[in-house]
Amino acid sequence: MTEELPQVARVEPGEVTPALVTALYTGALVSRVEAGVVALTGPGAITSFQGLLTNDVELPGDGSFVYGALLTPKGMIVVDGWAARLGATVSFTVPASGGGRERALAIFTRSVPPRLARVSDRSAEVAVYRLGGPSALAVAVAAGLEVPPAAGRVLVGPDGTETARATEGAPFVIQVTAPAAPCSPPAWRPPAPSRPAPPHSS
Amino acid sequence: MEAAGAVAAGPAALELSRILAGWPRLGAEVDERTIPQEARFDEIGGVSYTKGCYTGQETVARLHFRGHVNRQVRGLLFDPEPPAAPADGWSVVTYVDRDVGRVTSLAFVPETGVAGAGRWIGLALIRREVEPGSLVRAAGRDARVVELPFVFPIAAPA
Repeated sequence: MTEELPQVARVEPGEVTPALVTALYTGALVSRVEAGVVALTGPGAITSFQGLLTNDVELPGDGSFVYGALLTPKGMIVVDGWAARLGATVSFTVPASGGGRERALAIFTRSVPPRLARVSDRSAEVAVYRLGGPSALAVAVAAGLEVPPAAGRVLVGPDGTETARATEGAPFVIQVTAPAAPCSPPAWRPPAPSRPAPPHSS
Repeated sequence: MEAAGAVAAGPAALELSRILAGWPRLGAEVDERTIPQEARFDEIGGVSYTKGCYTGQETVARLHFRGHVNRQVRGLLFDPEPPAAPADGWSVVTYVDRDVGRVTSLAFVPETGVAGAGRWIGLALIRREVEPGSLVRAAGRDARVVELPFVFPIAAPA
């Protein structure tokens, strides 16, 4: 695990145009995210992850999408990210910068016995997109995505595309995790029936 | 997505959205010396106090039930006139000539036709007693400490 000194994150003039700011506040914008996606799969995946994350993935049930962090034993943040619970798998989407993927992998590998869950790195297999702005939901629906009915939920389509709605106040509204096509950007496909998530239990 | 009405953007737009929302970023607001409550985990719903045990839970729960953090991520609103950039590589935040923390994120919000939108904003991990409304020196410039998330349009004078 690498410990890097904190740096000042900067968005310089010209990096974000006025049109993008307008879209962020009155419309919708979409951007691919440099993210790592690390997953736990198996009969003990949910229980194991519940014992690592600051937030609750058991109470909201299958189809939950929550933000949280993995900590050191002394309570300091090692890596933060968004957890999507689907069946016997929890996918944890973490920032690529700052060694997020490596940090999450190290904790999973060290903390989760193979008999309970298998650790996998999905980062190279998927492309992560995020939509922001007040029209993000409407745009996602118009684009043919089946959007979860509530915030903090995730759906998976038959092609493996996961569509998640962030909790209120998050910097984005929708996260799409799509299988990455080799050597070409993933194409948006026509809508297909998705496996519905159960109602929010909390 | 673009055909459906979304504007295609680069990572910088989502980064600006993150800063405006006051969410932490690994390597900026967050490192292995950061406690979740310092990074606004209570405000952004990043922690459950009812779920039971998890690694590091003792510290987080003790702070929640018996104490408070000494520093927290807050917003910075820089003086728009002159619109000079906060100094690169200089992250110290001082308040009444005392070192109270460090700048963690900076962003220029471009002019969109809305008054006050062409200015620098930022996030800082600063001592709890430096309350919103305080005038601080951050990254070599004057800035006003503000509550998060930033409210748009950004109209408050620095």
